[in-house]
Amino acid sequence: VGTPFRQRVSWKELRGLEGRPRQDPRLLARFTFYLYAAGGALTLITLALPGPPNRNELALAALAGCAYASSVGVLLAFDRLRMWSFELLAALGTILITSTLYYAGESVGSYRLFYFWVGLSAFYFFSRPRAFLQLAFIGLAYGVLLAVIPPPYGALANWLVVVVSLAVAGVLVSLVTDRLELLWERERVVEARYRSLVEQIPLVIYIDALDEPSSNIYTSPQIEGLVGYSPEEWVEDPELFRKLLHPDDRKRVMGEIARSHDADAESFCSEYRLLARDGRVVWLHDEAVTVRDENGHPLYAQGYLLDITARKLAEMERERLLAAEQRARTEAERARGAFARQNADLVRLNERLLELDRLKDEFVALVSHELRTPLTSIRGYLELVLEGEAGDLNDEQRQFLGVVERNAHRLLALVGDLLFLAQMEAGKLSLEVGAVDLSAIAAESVETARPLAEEKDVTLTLATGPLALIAGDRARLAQLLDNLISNGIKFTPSGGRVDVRVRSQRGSAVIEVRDTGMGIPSDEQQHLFERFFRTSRATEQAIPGTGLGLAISKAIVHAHAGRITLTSEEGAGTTFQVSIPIRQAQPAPLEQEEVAS
Amino acid sequence: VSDRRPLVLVADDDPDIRSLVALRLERSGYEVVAAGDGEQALAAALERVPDLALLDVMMPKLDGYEVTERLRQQEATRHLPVILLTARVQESDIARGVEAGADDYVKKPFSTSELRDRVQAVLGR
Repeated sequence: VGTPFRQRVSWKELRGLEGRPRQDPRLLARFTFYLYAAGGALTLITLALPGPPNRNELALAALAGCAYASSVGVLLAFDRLRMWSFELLAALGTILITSTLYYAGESVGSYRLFYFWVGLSAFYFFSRPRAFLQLAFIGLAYGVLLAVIPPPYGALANWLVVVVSLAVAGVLVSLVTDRLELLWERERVVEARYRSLVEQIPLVIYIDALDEPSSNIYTSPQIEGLVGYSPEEWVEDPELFRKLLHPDDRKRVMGEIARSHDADAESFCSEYRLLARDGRVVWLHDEAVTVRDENGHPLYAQGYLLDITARKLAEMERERLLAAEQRARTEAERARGAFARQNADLVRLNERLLELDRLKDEFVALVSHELRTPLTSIRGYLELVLEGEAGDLNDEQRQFLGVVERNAHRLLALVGDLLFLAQMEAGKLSLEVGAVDLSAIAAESVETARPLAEEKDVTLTLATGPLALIAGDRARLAQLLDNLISNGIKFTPSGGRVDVRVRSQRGSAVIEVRDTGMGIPSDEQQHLFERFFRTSRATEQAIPGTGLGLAISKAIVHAHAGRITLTSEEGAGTTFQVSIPIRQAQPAPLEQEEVAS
Repeated sequence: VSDRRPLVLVADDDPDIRSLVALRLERSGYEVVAAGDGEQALAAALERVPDLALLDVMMPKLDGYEVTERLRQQEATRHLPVILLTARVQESDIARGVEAGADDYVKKPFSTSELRDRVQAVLGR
């Protein structure tokens, strides 16, 4: 919302402002003829007064009467006469009166001439620009008179004095009026300044009557820029204010104005909205005081209107933002509360998970106990029976019980694997670390697996290079080798071979188990070490297994800070390679040194 | 005294295992006293001090660890050889056994002939 006010007024502009005309030439001309008329009348009166005998008092009286009558005539016809005719008549009147006086033989010092001089001075006083013109006429008139009618000796000098006196008086009067001109000019400037102040200050100044409904006496023109109604419209329509008031503000503001008109009320201050001619809503700050006369009687109210639309809009925007901020704060509080609740839920959930984890551990321990105890009985009694403790067995009985024993072993291995994985997942896989001779372990594993290899007609070889002792868990590493070798044999068809190599390579112990088996499809290799994963071939060919062996092998290798990798070609064979760092002082995780065995 | 058969206390809450171990040891020339829980085992050991105790770890009333600890507190059984039978194979369990004062432990499931060998080793036969 731009301000409708002009902000600056130049000095030049200020001087150009038209003030009320101070010098009305016609008014001054009229005044001149009043003087002439008065002069004529005074002459007639003075002629009637007793004095020294005069030659032509009658003629003098006639001329004076003539001057008086013509002056009155001019005054009567004044409004219809033009300016130049006043000048001419004034000059003629001067000549007429002067020549009459001359003819009558009046002296310069005559009191009658004094009146005349006073009249002229007054005229010059009020009409400086014309004084020189008047003087020119008068001088011309005297000049003509002196040329045509030579004055008596002595009288000439007197008349010269008259002329000089008039000239000097004219100059003096000019000086005085110059001074007055200056004062008037100043007055005009001051007034222009006040007008500018009132009419161009970025406010609307107004004066209202104290009647009902406070009709407007004066409104400064800035009002038009504000609401589009001119000062004249405000003065003409006393209801305009009420009509333009915003309906929501009308009752309140009219009440406030009415209260401000009470006898003891001193001022009025309010903020409200006006509807501009173009439909805009303009916010105004309105402040007024009651002006009183010296007796305290209220005369009128004067005040100003200030456009506060921008401020109000800013305030509303600020309130809107504050409200938004408040909402955001409330929202944040709510979110914080929700978060706290969620957090509490998570804490509870976490506690529950910890509890579940503990229960799982207990469960694993329990299951392992409950499964192993019956297996102990099965194995133990089988052993007794097979040893002949319960009497001799025939071959068939021995064969059948062998199947039972083999499956008991499988079941036991499965329980062991499951327990091992459960511990591993719980992060509780711990090693019984000691100095381990990998070559020896490999030899044992190969020997253990040899019956199986022979049974399947698979050639099983072992090649060991010189190898330092490594820090590791002997039982776990044996388990690892057993897994890899038995896997190799299981997946290698008759006539194939499984080669085990153990050697040292760049600070690591490397175990390599190469078979000439069916190989593993490349898309299955990445899943090979996952729990319960079985290759499609293993499933197709019903090769026994749980899918736990390689997952366990990988866990054992990782627990020894090693790596296990494989290369495989379908139909050609698979090679597993395990690499375990030799300078592994304390394989993690490590809880406990080896205990009794 | 020389022909006295060594006395072995076998404590296990599983009667099958109890009988199995007893059978194997008796056939190997040992005299066996069997107990079904920890309290019975402790009572039997104090009533007639055996030459060796085979204690299952997970037994009702008193577990194998507690029985071992109490045996160690008694003058008569302070030096009694104790072998724990355990299905719990975590290292913390083994450590617990050593702490309690066991001389050895045998993991379940065990081979009875292996168990017999262990017993013979402890008794120096």
